[in-house]
Amino acid sequence: MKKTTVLVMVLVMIFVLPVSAQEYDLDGEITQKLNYLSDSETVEGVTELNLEFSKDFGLDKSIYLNPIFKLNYDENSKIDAISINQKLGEEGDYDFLKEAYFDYYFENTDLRVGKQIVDWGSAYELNPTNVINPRDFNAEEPITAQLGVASIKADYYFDYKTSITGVVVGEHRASPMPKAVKNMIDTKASNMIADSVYNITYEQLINNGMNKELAQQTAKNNTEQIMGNNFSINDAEEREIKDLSDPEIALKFTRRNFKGYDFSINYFKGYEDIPLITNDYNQIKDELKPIIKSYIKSAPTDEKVSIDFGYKETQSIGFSGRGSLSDIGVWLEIDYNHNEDDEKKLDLVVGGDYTFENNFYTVVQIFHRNYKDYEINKLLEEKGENKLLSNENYLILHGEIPFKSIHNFKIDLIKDLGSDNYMLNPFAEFSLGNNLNLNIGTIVNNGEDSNKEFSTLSMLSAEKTYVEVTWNF
Amino acid sequence: MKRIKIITALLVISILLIGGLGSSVIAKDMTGEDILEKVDKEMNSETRDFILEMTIINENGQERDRKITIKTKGENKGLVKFLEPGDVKDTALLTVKEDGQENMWLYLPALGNVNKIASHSKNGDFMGTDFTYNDIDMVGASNYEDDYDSELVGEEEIRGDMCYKLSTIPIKESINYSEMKMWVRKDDYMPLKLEFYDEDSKLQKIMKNKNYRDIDSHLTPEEIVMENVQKGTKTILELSDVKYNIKLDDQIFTTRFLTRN
Repeated sequence: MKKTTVLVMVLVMIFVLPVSAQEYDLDGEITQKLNYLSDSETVEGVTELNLEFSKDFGLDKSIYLNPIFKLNYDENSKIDAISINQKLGEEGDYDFLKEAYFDYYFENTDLRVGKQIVDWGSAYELNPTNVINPRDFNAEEPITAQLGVASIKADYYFDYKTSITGVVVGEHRASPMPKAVKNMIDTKASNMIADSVYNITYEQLINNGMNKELAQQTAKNNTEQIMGNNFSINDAEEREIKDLSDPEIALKFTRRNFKGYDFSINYFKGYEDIPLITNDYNQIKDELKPIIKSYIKSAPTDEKVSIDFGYKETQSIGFSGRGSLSDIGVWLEIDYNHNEDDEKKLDLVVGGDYTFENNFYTVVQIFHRNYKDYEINKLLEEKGENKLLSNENYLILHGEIPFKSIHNFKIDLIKDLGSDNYMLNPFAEFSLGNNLNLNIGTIVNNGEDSNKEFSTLSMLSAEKTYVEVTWNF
Repeated sequence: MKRIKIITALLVISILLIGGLGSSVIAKDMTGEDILEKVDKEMNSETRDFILEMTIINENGQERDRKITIKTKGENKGLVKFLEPGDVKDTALLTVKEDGQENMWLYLPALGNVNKIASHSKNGDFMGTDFTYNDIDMVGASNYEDDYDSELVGEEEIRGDMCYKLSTIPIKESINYSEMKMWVRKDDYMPLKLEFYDEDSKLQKIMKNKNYRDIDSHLTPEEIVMENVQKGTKTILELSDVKYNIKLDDQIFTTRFLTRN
């Protein structure tokens, strides 16, 4: 467990224990979900208890804790196959406390200290300016799921329309990644090196006068041996923020109701949440040459070469605006990200919503992502392979309509505008009682091709049909 | 001196007479507009703060409860916050009218942020009830005179009380009724019953205000029932913890406070 998390928990206990006999609010939710996975034809289950504890200390102080107990299992699970607070078969932190923080309210300033999720952005579900917390790509809903980070957030209000927000983050947390995606990235990286080893070996053998067929076979054998004996992949480790001299920081200026629109401008300086190759590819090739030579001379060396993954330093600026044209809601959100290796990413979301008189609520949204100058993409392109980080263009549609006054039917569609890939998620929410709901839905996802790259669509759930019962108390 | 006294007495009598006659003339010649003005005057206050318990009964007879708090200040500021059920608890809607424009912000705890929402949000029903947003405005604070043209069409008895019967036509574009009929109690100008007619002039909904009681010199219905006769659904509102003209700081009606419990 991280030091910062322990610190937060200790502080929480200090505050909670003396007031435990006093009044507090305790709300919660118990969810039982069963998924039928079409591809593997298996049933998996998730049981979750989500507690929300809050306590006010007068009008200007309060505390909030959100512990989660989650059990994942499948139809064949033995006791050791049951995982707590992480998706079945996946690795990740045991995130017992989703959030745990104190609020202090001053005359013009609101201060929040502790493990928290800071939500920024005005678009529907996909928020490029929501840059502070890492996404949880292992979650049931990876687009919106975020992980809390130990941080201090201060909102200063110049007046009731204008404010500035500052966030200092005391830890770096990476986005948990599904094993399949990590394996795909590792395979692409390994193949890239293997190709280089093969090509360099083959060229040298030809230069040495070997005939083509033998050179091909020898190069193949040597490549297999070098990749097995001399090559490794070093996984990324979360960046350690040792003190507060170089923390992650974020700033946001917000102006509400300016000519009928709310808008904000934000800046972030910190670390990427997804791993990228950090060592120079040409340097790797230089390191490979003596190793390759040693194999050609049939005197293999035990020198090692590796591809190192890491979380790069990055900065981003963003804009978010929301208002209405006539009575149609409209929004625009942009984020421009620039990392330490001069790799750039632009995210843009534009959309609108409308409610018809029959209560039918609709959202139409376009999402655009552009990667520029990413080293890994350049190298893969050189080799005629698909980019790992492809540009993305999605049409996102959402609709919901109540029926029988107390139930709802909802549908989500994400369509990749550059291919035939899409994800369709129709579901019905039945109200079984005042605090008891039943959700039944299905996810149809033909995004098989997108699994070759690291994209938003590829992160979405596999095809499944699900039944979920939720009880609130 | 005697003459002066007589003149003074005559003046007083004439003033009283004129006043009295005037009053009886006003009462006799009350127009629909006059009655609506009286209704607004009796129902409105500088601030209101109350809890609304809503029971939604659908066409199958299934009942669901909701509980919200409503705070209003003047005609321009309103705050609605959900208390129950648990899955929507702390969801809050802030409405502020400024420069003739109505601005709304919604706080959804699950999303964690406050977003400005457009006026289309008022097109549908209010939180699954049989009330539209405009209907619920009548519960928060009445503004009949500005929203409707009214004509007095007769007098009828409702639950033992004599009432003015008004036929009103909406002038506000966002109100989707062709006509609203209103029965206003003659004694105190409290509306007891309202009928709402759809765009095809067919009776759509009936609203009944029951059990008026005096709270801080304001008559307040304890129960409001809205029945949609076309759909066969019904919503019952029960008002409690009603407070009028209490001090509600302007800061309460800001996006900053929307996220606070």
